[in-house]
Amino acid sequence: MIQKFAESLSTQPYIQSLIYGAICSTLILGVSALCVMSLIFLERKVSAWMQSRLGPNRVGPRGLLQMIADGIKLIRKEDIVHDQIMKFLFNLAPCIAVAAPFAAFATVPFADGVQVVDFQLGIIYVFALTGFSVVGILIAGYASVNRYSLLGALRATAQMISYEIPMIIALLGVLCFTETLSLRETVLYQQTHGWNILYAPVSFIIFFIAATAECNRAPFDLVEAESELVAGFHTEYAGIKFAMFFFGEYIAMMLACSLTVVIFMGGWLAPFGFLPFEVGSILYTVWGLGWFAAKVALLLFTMMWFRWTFPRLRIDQLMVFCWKVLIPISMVNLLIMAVISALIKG
Amino acid sequence: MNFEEKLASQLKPEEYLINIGPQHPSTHGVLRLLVTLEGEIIKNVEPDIGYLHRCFEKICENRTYPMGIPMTDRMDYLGAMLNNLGYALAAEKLGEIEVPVRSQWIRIIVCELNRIASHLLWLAAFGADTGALTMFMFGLRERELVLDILEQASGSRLTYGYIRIGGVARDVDKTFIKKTNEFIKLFPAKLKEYETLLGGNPIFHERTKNVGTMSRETALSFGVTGPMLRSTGLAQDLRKNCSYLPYDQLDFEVASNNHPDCYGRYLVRMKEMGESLKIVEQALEKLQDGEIMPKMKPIFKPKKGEAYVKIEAPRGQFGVYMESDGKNKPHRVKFRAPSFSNLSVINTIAKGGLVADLIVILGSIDIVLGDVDR
Amino acid sequence: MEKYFKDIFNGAIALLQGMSITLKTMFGVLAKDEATTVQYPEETLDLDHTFGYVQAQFDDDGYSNCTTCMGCIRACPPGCITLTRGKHPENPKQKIAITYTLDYAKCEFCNLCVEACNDDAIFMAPIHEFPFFDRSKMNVEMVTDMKKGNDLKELSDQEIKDMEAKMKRLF
Repeated sequence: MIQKFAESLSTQPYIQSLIYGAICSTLILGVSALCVMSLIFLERKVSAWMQSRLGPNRVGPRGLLQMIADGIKLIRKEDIVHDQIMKFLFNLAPCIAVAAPFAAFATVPFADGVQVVDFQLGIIYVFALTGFSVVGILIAGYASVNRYSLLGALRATAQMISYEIPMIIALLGVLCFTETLSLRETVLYQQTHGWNILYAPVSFIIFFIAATAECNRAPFDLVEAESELVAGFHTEYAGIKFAMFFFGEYIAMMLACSLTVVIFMGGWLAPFGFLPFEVGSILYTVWGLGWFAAKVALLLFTMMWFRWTFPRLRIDQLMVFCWKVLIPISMVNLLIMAVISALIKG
Repeated sequence: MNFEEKLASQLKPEEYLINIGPQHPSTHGVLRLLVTLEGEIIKNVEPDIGYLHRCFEKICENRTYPMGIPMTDRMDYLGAMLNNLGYALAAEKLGEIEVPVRSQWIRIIVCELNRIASHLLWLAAFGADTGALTMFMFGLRERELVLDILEQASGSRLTYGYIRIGGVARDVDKTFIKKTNEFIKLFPAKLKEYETLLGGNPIFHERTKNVGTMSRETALSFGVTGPMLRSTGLAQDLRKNCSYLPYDQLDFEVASNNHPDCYGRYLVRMKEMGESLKIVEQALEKLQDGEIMPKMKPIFKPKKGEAYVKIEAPRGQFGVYMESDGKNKPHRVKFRAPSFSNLSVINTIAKGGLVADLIVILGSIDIVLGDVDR
Repeated sequence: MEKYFKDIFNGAIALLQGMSITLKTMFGVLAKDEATTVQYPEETLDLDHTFGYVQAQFDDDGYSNCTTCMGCIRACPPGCITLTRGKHPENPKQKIAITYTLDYAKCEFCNLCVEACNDDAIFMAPIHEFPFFDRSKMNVEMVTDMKKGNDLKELSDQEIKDMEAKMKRLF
């Protein structure tokens, strides 16, 4: 639809794609900002409920305007920095931390036909960008000229690079069956063959754990580790720059959950192939979007649940868990999956 | 040259100095740790204390004997009852005062309840140190119940000033006994809940087992007492070994085990909470009607002499030395604070660990800075 | 090898048990309204109001019960009580407090003054919420501020000074 609108405005393909990109990114930015806001609100509510509290309930009806109030507070806050920071890098870091996971949304199929670009190499593109977001954290820690920040940044680098390996190996097992790198085709494969989670539950668990670690969520939140490193890499950040890191973290969370849903849980598909609407109709798109959102919300809740239940791992234990547990299991898993797929497909 | 500069001048090229505290989320107060690190490995820890020094010993010398009681509340503010008890016992020893039986049992009940409250706050903070934030809220939730009971008895929630020279300030009433009985019924289930939520968690095991290991010799040479000493396998508990209240009429075990690490300390404190609950239950049965204060002269003036009393506070051995010169004010008061000795061992046991270990070790020592600095 | 998998399996079970506790708490709050917290200004805890404000007690005629024995002043650890002594207007032999000031900036709420009082002149009122917004107002004059015993004949300045000097000697 947007594509047609862009085509109607200009005949030049470059300008067309420019308009198309601008509209799409604005849409995604707006929707994701709204999602992040409600996500932060939900996180606070869920954490409160799990700790037998009530959570924010003062600002607006049932506390719903709390995040807006917090956002206004963060934007208006004075940006306090010490005078030894490396200014350019210091300002660049939050931009990268937001931009990298945000850009990865370009190829996520939210519903049938609701996708910005259907890359043939969608999965590789997404992983390239998630790998890039660690650069933002590293720059932040380095440019802050603060030992706590540097420690946090170094931990982040080690952690994110290590956890990408089991994540991708777990994914390879699934790719043996789907034989495509496009996220849309992965979903379409699941439409005919059933959800991947049923064939590859081990891959799913490993992928989800590694994804949790990728976006620095507890119990893998060593990067921030408020009881050890004060606030880790964003110790020196205040106001809107801190808000950007916060935003980036939640977008990364959403991205990780969306990827898990697309790859393992059938994307926009309803469970048991339940299909009340004609494929291609607008109602079908909305139906798919609803299922997609519901599945992502379930995974996000699980992530919050992890965070408010578990203690934090130590950095060496984190590495041991990755290299001695996740990687061997995912390797064996990959082998078994490859053998099975070879047997089935002849 | 100040302390920090001196340490900085001794650094090797691969090492660097990091300042943990006095404003840091997990130093439990205003403690400052100057940590020499190589990467994340701890080479040296220098605790810098004194930010909360309030000259309590000197103030006590300038106040009459009963006036010292509210002062002791503010030292170890999480175990205020025990501090009151130590001070009162020392003064009673000086003045040769016989404490009424009912008062003694009330003292046992409130002290053990206070020990539970103190350990609960420790558990909560320890959970937060390891990153389990829900444990923090759970620990505080049950601590509130204990504080309600203690408020019923003493009128305050933190600085009780309840145990007085000769007895206790006020008699306990039926509501107190009812509330305590309710708590006794409720608490074992909650202890199990903590055990499942935090104690059984493999991540928690990873974080605490073999972290901050301390041999019995080290513990004894540093004067470490309390749960930290008991975790090295030495069942040293002044409630058994040097019965200052009628603890010998009660049936309870001394919690000790052979895990001289953070996990062992956790186990000791968890068991101690259960044992304290047993003590409270038995003491409630033994509570009989009677006087709570003996007949005393309005102005407390002990004879010339000196007294030393040691009791088992939640953090270890709390000692009060008191010297009288026959006036209404003590000539000298000295407090032996358990946290101070326990903190001094941190350099020995934290060396070679990681920064994350240091926080867990500090949490497992269970310091109260009011107690360290006095 | 067996231990490796056993550890992982047992660990996963323990993690799930921990997660069940938080989930149970969450449903407790949502479905059974079991939240521990109370919404403070609207709801308050049903505290057994015991100690709070130190308050002066008056006899039926509106005069303070205080006979200025100075017991409370001697007992007060931070020394936050000051009083001025006067004569009872109806019974000149009896001494009575004309002013009785308690500095809440210093008060420790230890109850020692109440225990020291032989005449039931002061007691701990069951009021917990009395925030002060100005430090100068924390010096609460109780006998006159409570609008009782106000009509007593005031002492001369010299007499008050003497009293204060005497009280200082007590410490």
